[in-house]
Amino acid sequence: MTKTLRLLWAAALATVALAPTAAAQLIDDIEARTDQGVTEVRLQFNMPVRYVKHFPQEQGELVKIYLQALTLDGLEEIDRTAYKRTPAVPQLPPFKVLYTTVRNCFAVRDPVCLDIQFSQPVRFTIHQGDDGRSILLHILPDARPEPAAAPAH
Amino acid sequence: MLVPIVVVVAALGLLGTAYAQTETANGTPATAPAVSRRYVVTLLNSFDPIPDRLLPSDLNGLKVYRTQNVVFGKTIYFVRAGFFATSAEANAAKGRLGARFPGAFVTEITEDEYAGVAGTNTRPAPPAASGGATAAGKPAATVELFAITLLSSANGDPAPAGPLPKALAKNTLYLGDAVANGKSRRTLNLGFFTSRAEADRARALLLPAYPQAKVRAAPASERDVAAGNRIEIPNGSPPTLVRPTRPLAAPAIAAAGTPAIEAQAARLLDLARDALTRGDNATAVQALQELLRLPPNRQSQDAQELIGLAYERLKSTSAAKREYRLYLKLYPAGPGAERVRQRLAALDAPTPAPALKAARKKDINVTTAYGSFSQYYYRGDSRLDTTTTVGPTVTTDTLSNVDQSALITSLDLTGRMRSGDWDNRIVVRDNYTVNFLENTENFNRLYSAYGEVRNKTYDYGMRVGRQPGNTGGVLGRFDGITASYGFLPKWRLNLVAGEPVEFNPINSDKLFWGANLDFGTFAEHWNGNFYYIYQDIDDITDRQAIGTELRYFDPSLSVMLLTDYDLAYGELNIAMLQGTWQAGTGTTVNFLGDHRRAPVLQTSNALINEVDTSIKSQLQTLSEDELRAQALARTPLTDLLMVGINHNFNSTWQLGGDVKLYNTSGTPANGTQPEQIGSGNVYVYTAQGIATSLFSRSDISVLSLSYLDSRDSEASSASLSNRSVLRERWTLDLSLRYLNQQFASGVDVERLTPMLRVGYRWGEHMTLEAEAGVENTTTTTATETIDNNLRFWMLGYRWDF
Repeated sequence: MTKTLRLLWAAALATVALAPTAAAQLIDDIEARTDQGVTEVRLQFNMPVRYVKHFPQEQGELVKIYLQALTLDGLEEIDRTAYKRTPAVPQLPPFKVLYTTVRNCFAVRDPVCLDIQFSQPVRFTIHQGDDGRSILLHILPDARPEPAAAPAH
Repeated sequence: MLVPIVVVVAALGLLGTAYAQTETANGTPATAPAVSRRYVVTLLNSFDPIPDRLLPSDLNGLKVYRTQNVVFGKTIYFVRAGFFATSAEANAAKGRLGARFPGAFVTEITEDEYAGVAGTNTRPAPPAASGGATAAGKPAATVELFAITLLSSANGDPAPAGPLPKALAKNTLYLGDAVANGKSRRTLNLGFFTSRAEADRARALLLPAYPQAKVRAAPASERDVAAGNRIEIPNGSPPTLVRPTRPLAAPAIAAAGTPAIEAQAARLLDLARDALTRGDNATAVQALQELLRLPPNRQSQDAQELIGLAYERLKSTSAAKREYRLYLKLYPAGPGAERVRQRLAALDAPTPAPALKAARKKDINVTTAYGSFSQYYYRGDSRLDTTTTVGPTVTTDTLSNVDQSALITSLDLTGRMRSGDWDNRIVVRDNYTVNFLENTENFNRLYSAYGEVRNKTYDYGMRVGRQPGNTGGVLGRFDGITASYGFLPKWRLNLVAGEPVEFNPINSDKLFWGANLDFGTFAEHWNGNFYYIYQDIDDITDRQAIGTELRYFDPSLSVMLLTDYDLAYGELNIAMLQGTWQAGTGTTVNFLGDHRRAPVLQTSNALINEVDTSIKSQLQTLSEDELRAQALARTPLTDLLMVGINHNFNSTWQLGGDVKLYNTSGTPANGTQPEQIGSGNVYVYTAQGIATSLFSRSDISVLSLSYLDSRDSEASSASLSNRSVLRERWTLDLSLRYLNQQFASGVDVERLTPMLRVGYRWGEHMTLEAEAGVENTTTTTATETIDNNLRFWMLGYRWDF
């Protein structure tokens, strides 16, 4: 086998190696606070991140957020796929955050894809935090009123 | 390993001390201010104004109103029903309403909200309408009243069932109007009671004659209505409607206009009230200005007050004051004048502290521990079939291998203690890998082990131990100390010192220290950081840099500039500008320009590809200047330009795309390192579609198509992935990737990768996961065809606590 082909094979192995050989935690912490029925969830990262996009736009049970890690020195060692503890929040369905850093998540250098899975649909807005190291979610329960009963007399 | 453990133990002691001290100082709950408390049930909340059709109109006995507040910097719109003197009463009402409003919750409201709403009609209804659950009224009452609606009728005035019980002889029986399901109804009411309990006792006496009687809050203005529509029931005679001897509304200047003007004015006032309650204050101003340009009419007085309110809500204080003063000039007497004087005085008064404007904050005194523990086993097998064709001779070679067999155990633990002004944390994150393959070693990775103390009152904090870097010029994880102090409201000084943690260490010692300054937010949108950092390696300068992060943020646009300049080398390390614009139309535009040395320029880069990784040893044969020149030569430059756009076409589909250009420079032959050829310009074009709920209620599918064009190769790739949540506890991830790459050297690569991942949430804290996949790669050259078949799987669990 030629040297080129062996290198290609090695590269192919690298793309599918599942286990993180040395996995850094991308997300430092997830904090939540609630006021007047609104929950603010702050995903705090260990490095600067760039918000790219998210979907669905404002309502759903599964939310996908695309980010790019902007480290000073590149993501030398990082989890490829990992969960992060999520706090229990009154008035908010339980949720969990899964993040993925594999290349097919997004075709940029140091991509970060977040999948946030709520146990029930919610309404939300998503913005970059003003410290450049966090993403802010403002969440409302998606509780539409049932049709009114017979009018009272 | 020892250092972080020592510092964390020390931090634990520090935390314990701090916690104990604050527990003593703040252990008792704050005494509640002596103000009356009012509760409501918040029925609905929304990021957008709530339309009329979602407002309940049949909650007799409850005042339903719309309001809006800024919460966490965002305007939130609410529909509320009230009022309740205790949270228990409110919770009982929430229980009754829960089936219909599943998101309802109890809220303690501020005095301002109560005063602003109690007497204000919050639904579009005729200004004169009163006496019902959504009664129209204007005064901002500060005394809560209750009334009982005895009967209601859509066909004229309901008739009393007979004389009132003697105990209620002093109360007022009167007719009024209410709106139910969008229709006006006439009501028969009994007023007034100063407490709900008193009204409830009266209702009990009335139930035999009026089984549908309901107690409700009544605005103070309803007294006027009652006075004008009072009913007397003489013994043995039919009830009589008693009209007042003087007109109820006697505005100082207002006079009735022509019927056409009155109709137009009423329409405009309704429009304005609706806009106000919807939160659309600008529209309200527009409608009210139009109304006030009409000849004097019965709505002029209300309009004059409301336009002041609309300006007030628009934060146009001077305009609000001007309109309120005009109101007092035109209508100097009456409850409206008193209310406007209060509003004007409030605008002239100094802004109260936020704590006084909001409902009382609870004193937090909480100690929590949370995190996760997980174990995952990873396995990978490969088979390589090589077919070589040389003339008529065909040979086949097969190679099989186990690439990976490892068990990874992870712990992520955070202890957090909040008490009074203190917010302290202990964090430990560790991975331990057991390798089952021959000639491999087990290893531990301690990623974080630190203690942190923060004081909110004096705005200082300290973190000691192994911690993540990536701020203030620190390149990555380190063992050390970070201290910060907010010496001015918008200025914070941070000091940092430590030893970098590298899991593939070189045989040299690095130490660093630095100072950086956080600033902002200025002019509402700007903040950032300046830093200086010095790092040495074996007693010579490794890195000496200054840098800045400058950030602009508003709800729709974020821009960040990051620079790092090495003073020792006189070279720009990093210049990066990135931004995202979230247009209100569901369109997101993002851009990135990134010029940097990769890795960041340090003298230790001279060790790249060296067997001897000791700077001290290298200095035996090279001068410091030669070593620095070697470092510079072995550090390539990279450039990346990217622009992308995404648009949400509907609630199901988002489509987008981006264009990227990147280039990595080559490096010259240097020492033992041969010349490295640069990548040349590489262009990547990507189109991506994301869809939700395609196959089930909860799923997201992503389809990506990419094309890469470079000097060395062309590549096309496609990927399709789907994540579905099934029956709440099951998660299914499917993905399929395809790549075809043609190299200028004549090598063709084709790769197909299907993968499946399944997760099951067992109880509230445990998640079981399994993943399996295959990757088939066919590589073709002029003489060889190589088939790689990789099979991999993973199995594990994660316990969240």
